[in-house]
Amino acid sequence: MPADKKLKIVFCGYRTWALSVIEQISNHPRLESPVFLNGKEEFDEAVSEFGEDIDVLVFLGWSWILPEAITERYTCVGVHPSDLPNFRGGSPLQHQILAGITDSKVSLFSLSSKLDAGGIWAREPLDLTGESMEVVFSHLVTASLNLLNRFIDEFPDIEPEIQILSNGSYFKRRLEGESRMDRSVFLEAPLVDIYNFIRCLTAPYPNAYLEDEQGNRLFFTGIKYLPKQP
Amino acid sequence: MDVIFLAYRDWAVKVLPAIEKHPQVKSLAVCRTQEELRSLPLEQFDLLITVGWSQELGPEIANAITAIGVHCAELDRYSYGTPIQNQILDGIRVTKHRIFKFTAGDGSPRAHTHTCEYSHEVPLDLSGNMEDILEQMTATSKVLFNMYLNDYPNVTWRQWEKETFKREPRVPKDSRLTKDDLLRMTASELYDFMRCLESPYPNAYLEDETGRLFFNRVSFKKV
Repeated sequence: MPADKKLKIVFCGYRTWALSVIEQISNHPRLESPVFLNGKEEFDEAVSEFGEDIDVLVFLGWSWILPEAITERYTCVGVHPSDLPNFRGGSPLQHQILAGITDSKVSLFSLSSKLDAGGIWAREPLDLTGESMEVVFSHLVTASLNLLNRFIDEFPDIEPEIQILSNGSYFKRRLEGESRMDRSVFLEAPLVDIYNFIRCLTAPYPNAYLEDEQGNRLFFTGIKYLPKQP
Repeated sequence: MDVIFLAYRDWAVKVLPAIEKHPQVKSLAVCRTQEELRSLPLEQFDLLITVGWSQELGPEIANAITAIGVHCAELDRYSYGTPIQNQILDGIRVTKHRIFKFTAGDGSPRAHTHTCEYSHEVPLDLSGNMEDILEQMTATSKVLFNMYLNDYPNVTWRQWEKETFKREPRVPKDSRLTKDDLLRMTASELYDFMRCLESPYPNAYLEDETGRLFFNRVSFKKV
């Protein structure tokens, strides 16, 4: 396929950051009538109507594993906000921020029946700094656009590289109860760790909170850290 | 009547449209600083309305024109500065918003309310985030000045009872929480401490040898 040939791409996503990426990438000059499916319900309804002329299905922040019948029939790629094979699985942004990572990557990988395990098509730098998840998501939008622009520019003249899963890490999705902070954290943890814990759980996630003996909860919804100047 | 409007804080400046619209107001001069105010021919105006103004006006202004302001406490209580913070930290949930008369200094420690007179008052809810409280103060200030202007010139002044206890105004270093505070205080007490220091005030913070961690927004869920 010549590199200047128009591409027929179906974009699937439902999270706010994903919708922002899809809206902007839809203007790419190589795209021919891009299709957008908002969430699993729309995807399930539309999938039986897909023709053979679709070049790629792109999934952004997608939470469901695709049936093999789809992944075998079409090129299916997903955007994952980590430097795969590191931080595969759930809550990748939170797990990276809690690990103290500030410079990461957003990865474009082949979707398969195994979670976040397919070949890597491309990676772009992803900045994980910022006082709130709103800021981190704005970085993610920029990085995802860079990633998809590059992929659409080059497809089909790029090949995915195999993920060596044993070199990476896998994490489970965080649960709401894990947003609870024990008071001892304030005695023991460095302030930057407390900052990272609170900022990675700002909206739209279940906010970090302290609970007293009565069960009353104090939620931390905004945080800022100023390191001392050397 | 010819009115001067003096305000600089965001919540206070938003009161202006209500004054502008009042049928008693023929002309309106707007000032943001005391210097701008001093440049005006005060004798040509009938009334000086200040909103969120916490400095002394001095005898050259207070003796030259009727000057009124709003204060968010049941004066004489909490009359020495940072009234919102001191009331919230004392556990007060509903207070009063009052119109008081500026008077020139008489050597007392009060900033500008030496005659202890107020004309109008409405309830003011101190619950919620600072943003919510300031939004309410904009609304109650509009109500209060409308009440005053409706009554003008037949405004009745009432005396409030003087209190001898003086609460010190808060300073930025009072926003510091120690790790012991975090262990000792209940969730409700921490919520009050942090919410009363939300923007535009110096946020509550923890400090260690590496830097400062500011709690700039909180919420609370009671069982």
